Amino acid sequence: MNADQLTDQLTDQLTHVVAGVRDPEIDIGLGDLGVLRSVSLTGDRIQVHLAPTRLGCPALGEITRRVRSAVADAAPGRGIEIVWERGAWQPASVTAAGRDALRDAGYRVAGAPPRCPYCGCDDVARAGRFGGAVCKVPYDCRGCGSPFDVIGTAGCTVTLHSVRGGSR
Amino acid sequence: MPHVPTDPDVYEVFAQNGLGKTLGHVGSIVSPCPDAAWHLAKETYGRRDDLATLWVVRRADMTVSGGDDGDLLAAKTRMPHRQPGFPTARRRDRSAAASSPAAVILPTAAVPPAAVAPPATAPPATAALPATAASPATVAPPRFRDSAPPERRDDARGAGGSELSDLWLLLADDLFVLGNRLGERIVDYIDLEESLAVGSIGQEALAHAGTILVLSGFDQPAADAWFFDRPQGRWRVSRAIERLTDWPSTVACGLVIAAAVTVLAERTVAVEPGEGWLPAITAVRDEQLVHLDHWRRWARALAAFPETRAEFARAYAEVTERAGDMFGARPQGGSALAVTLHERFAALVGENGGPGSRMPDRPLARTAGVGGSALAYCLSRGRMVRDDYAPGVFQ
Amino acid sequence: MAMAIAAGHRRYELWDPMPDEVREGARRFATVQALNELVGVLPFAEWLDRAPSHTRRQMLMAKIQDEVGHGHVAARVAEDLGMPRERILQDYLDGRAKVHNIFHYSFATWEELGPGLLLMNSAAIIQFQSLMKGVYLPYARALRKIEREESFHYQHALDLTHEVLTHGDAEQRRRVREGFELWLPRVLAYLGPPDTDTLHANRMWLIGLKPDGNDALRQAWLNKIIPVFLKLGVHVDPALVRQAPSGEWEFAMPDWAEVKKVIAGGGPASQRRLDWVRNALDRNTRYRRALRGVS
Repeated sequence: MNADQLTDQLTDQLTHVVAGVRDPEIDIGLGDLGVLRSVSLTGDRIQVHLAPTRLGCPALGEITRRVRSAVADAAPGRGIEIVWERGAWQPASVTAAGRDALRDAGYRVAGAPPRCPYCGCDDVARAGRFGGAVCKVPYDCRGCGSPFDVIGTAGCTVTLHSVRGGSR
Repeated sequence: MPHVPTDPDVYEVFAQNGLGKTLGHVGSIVSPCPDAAWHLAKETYGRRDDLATLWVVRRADMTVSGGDDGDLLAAKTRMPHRQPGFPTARRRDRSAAASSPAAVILPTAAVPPAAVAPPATAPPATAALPATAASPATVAPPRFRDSAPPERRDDARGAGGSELSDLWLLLADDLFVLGNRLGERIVDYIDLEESLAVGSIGQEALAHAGTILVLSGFDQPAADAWFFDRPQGRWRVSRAIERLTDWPSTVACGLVIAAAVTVLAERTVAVEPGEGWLPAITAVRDEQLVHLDHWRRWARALAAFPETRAEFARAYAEVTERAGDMFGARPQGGSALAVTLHERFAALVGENGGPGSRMPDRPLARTAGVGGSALAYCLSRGRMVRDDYAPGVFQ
Repeated sequence: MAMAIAAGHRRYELWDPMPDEVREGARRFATVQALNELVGVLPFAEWLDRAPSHTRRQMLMAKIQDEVGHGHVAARVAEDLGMPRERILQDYLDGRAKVHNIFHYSFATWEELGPGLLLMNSAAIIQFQSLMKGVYLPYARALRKIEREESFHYQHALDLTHEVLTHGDAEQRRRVREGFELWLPRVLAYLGPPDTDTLHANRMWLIGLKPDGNDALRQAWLNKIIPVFLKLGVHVDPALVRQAPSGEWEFAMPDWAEVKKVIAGGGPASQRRLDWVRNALDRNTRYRRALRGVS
């Protein structure tokens, strides 16, 4: 294997490691949640690009710590740089496996008409415009009575009625 | 020059939060008479804690330092971190760097800590900048880091790029104070869902304030110094912040700030599309639109309900009248950019807040020293724990 | 998705026919939780505007909002079972509902907040992990999510305590230890009076809403949290708590008469909490009415 291949191999390995780091609030890996954007390796320096689900995400510090520690364990002795790409996350960033993991944890992702993550029923009602965290909107299932959250709704489906015309 | 101020109705408030704590200046209030001043001070600054001592002094009875007394006041032994001139000094360094072609190419989010000068390197001379109203205007604020080629940046500057950066930093101040106030409102229990709304909007206001500082080249310690260690006299919040008091006024303040940030974000996105910080500013805009929509609902509800109609009309009039300085970054006010932004802002406020806006026709200049007890309270409380620790602990 | 449910019990969805005792029991559990989430943030909210950095303030605000969000979830569950949400705070003001003993105190210092939060939070997690095995499924599912979110606050508390212990001076570190010693008996009491001998006669246990006894939870909690403080370097006074060779934790038994008095309103912050909620509801009545009257 030449040096490039080794670099590719280590990059793949580190990508896998960071993708597996758990989100502090929900039982899902950063890869499936779409928070991990990329891992790159230049010389002895590892750069991890992450995207918060919201600008106001309070978990950036904890996620940074976890990613640093996971990368340091997997590739000791290299410089690690964490870059937060603010505003880059979209509901579409969640992988198919991520949607399943979120469903199992009691969440749905914005972008499709919400169904209850527990019973699959589509008779659901929004229980408010804001949830317990900035990335969540609360819903209730009228079928089985379970509360659940939709991630990424506010700001992503906002109607732009109040901004007519351009700003130029 | 040290002088005797002439504001007859302004009182300075000193409080001790418990025996064994230091008696310190906590802010100022406006009151028509000394007795009422003491009680108002008690209401304002003794709301949360039992006070051990409360002194209220008429400002006109004091001798105070003036804007040109920096040299008289400068101490050379304090940590640079605590120097009021520190963030400004850094900002000046940054803006100087940004105008040199060699230093411009840095992708937004990739701000390696090493790219930001550590506090210790702030030149001693700048640490003695007078901590007054006049000085911020004399210091060029940073431009957002961008990856545009130089000619593109020059276009942007021609279109008011630097003034945009100025305006963003001012709105960051407003967002910070608003965010804190809304956070306190979580436990106001207006309604369970409203608690979650003010908590979300408050968190995002704080986050947007922080995002603006990151885009402006501040690292975390510098951002904290900017928000926590800068003396009140160096803040240039909108005068609307003075009215961040009861709920109808908070609704009106939330509405004008969300509208102003939205307008500025739209303009920024339009002026420099495709820059590294575009996703962040776009996200700020999208999130503020949600906030604006929330405040619009409240404005409509309060204006339509008989018991709150008059109260809201008054609060809305007072806040919009004061919000005329939202885009008044320049002392002379009224640049072409400011006028354009202001017109769009006034229209957006009217659309969302309803009739009764007293927004001035043209933008007014922002001045230092405004913000009243809302700002004073926010800043003095913010320093209470922080001042007990060595500089640089909290990051 | 594995969800252990109290053995030998039938489980219920919202629309299932359900014994009155289960419905009322689930409603009571959810109502008690909702009230305690709402009032239980007050000791933390008092410190929000003093949080000493931008990041810390954001995290504390997020914690407070998240707890209120949990109150919202619990209130919705209770509402489905017939408890109007307006009554949750009103019953508290009228003396018909009480908050847990731990919410009748305030934090005197910033340094006390970290260990206090760690103790309370870890105990709440243990509680939720037990209650989420209960037979009323909508509530059990809600608790499973809440429990997971609480672990984030636990990290926050750990980080906060660690920050003070790492950067504080000797006096500030001493206050962390004192905070631990002050809050440990309170949180021991929060987990309820000894019930090993009486659990099997407890109706809530019999119908499957209270899967574990107080003593078992207390042991599980001490097993988890005491090593955390030891690892942080906090001195743990054996007179307060120690592990017997059998592995069982021994601790200074709380003064249950005192605990009862505190819960009844005799705690140092009892009146202050009631006053805060009453004033907040009073001064906002017309705005609440405006919101309902129009939208």
